[in-house]
Amino acid sequence: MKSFPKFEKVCLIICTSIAISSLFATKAFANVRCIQSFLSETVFDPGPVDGAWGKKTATALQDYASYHQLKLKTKIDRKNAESLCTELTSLELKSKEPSVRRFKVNITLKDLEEFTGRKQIDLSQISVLDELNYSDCRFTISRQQIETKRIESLAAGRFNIESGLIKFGENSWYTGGLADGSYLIDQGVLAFSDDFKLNGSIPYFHLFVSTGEIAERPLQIDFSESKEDETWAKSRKNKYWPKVYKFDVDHWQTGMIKLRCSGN
Amino acid sequence: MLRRDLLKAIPASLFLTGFPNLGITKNLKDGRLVVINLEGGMDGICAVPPLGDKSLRSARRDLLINENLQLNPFFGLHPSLKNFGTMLSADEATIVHATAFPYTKRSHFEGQNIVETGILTPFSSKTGWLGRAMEIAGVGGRSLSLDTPLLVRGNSEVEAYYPSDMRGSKFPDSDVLDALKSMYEGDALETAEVLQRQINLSLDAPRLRDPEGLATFAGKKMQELHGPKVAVIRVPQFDTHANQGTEDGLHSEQLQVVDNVFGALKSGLGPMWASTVVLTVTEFGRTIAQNGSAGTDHGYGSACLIAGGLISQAGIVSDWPGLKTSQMHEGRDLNATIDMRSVCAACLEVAFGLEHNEITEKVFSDTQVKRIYDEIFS
Repeated sequence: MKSFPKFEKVCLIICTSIAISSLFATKAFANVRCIQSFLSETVFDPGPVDGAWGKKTATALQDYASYHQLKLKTKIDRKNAESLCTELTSLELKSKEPSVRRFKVNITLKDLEEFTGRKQIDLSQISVLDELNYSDCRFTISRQQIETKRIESLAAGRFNIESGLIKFGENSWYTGGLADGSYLIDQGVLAFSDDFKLNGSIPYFHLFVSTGEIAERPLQIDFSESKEDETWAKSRKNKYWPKVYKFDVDHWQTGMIKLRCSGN
Repeated sequence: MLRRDLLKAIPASLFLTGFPNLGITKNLKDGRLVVINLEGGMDGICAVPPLGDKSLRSARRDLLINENLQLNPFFGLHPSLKNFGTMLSADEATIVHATAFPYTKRSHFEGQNIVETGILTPFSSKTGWLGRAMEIAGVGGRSLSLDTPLLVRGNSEVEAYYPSDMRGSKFPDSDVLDALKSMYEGDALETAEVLQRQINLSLDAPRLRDPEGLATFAGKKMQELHGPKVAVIRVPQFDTHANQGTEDGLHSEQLQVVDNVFGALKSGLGPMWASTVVLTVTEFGRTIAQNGSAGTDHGYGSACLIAGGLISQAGIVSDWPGLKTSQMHEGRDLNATIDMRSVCAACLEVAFGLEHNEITEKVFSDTQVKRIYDEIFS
């Protein structure tokens, strides 16, 4: 019998082992592909469905299992692809049931300010004058036209001070339209800090309406940067009141709020 | 006249109902419920974009918006929804995503009918889901509108009452404008156009019959002790087949209207906001991929925006289906993995204190509707 030359023997061994290993490889390939194609139907992305086990496939499978609170019997590993495939296939029907979940919302203050274009008032950042309490106070809001110096009243009403926080009560705007007392009650956030300075913001209707029907949305006036009006501060006879703050509105008018409480 | 102005000229409507029937009202929760009906098919992927889904960018290259508010690593919020974003950050709002009434045939007429009746066979019911729920809860009576919308119709008669003190709309009826213009030529036509320009001058000022004004009015009425407990506000024109736009497009403008309605309801309701839930409904979402005219077509799943003091924690309630072709409904639409009837049932439960089983049986006539109250309100 003619024997194979040495070279041919080696080649036969190599070819046989390649054939055997590729047979196994094909099976492994099919199993990984089975896992990947299962995952690709879900929101957990296993990367391309190519039969190659990689970090993406493993992570996606891990995420899928933890999202659905599944306790897989098989350890997530390339070696266990076959049993993982079997396990997932048996789950397939079950996984099609809706699994409703609440994703958390996490909005930072900075993002919100940027998004809304409005400064968010957070009174927890200031040291509020806790001992300040008054139960009978009145306020007026007015504006002054810059060019003519003419002063007009815009709103007036009552407020209380509870532990340094201003609680707006009954009040009314003279500006017409949609403006009414609820805006200050709901959206006015004002407090006195330890140095008896006004902090926070109020809604401010900056336009009068002749027909009583149209009003622009109120502006938000922020008091964090504003200072007490010195002329009023010098002229007051009472220790605290009135407190008057002027604020910039637009090129045409400046606004003013005057706060006065009875008692010491 | 621009098409956009013409579209704006179609007014929104307000329906206030659910006045307590004294002596009949059951001893249930005294909540308030507002439904904002977004007609035309609101694009949930535009309002609450899944920014973390890689397929979004390729599907919508001309419609991508850069100035979204990042809600979490996966979802964002459209820049028009500033009031709603503020409510989310204060735990006064929540979102249900990839939801729809189980209707997949993409017809406005059938879809809107199902949104109102809550019954899955179109035109098979003469009453609305809200009307039937109000009957069970013992709130009913008058409807503050010229006609009673199907949504709030129940089996018992509802009186209609239209408040005469609601003045003025910013936009006159488009038919009237067209009729006026068709009557004139030459100089006279210019006069008609001057009229239009004058109308456009005060575009930013709300009036009572615009959605924002209507919402404030609704809120104030609902705040009253014996005031209405239910309001329905219609915001039309979400059907953006062409030129949907990005930050400044037509869809964004309509979302701005919705956001103003949320803001106005909150300020109108005052302290009653704490006992209120407001939700949006729409007949379907829109296709995931943009079409050839930079718009989107009738789809399936959309997003539902919910706000009000009855919410205890902000979140995005979803079983996110994904945006890949294999994950789409019929290879084109966002799949709906949450039945919108479950969302409505949860809102009825929180506002009126009705039992879920009673709602599924008597309101939706389908006991298979799942309870997702805990995911939304707990």
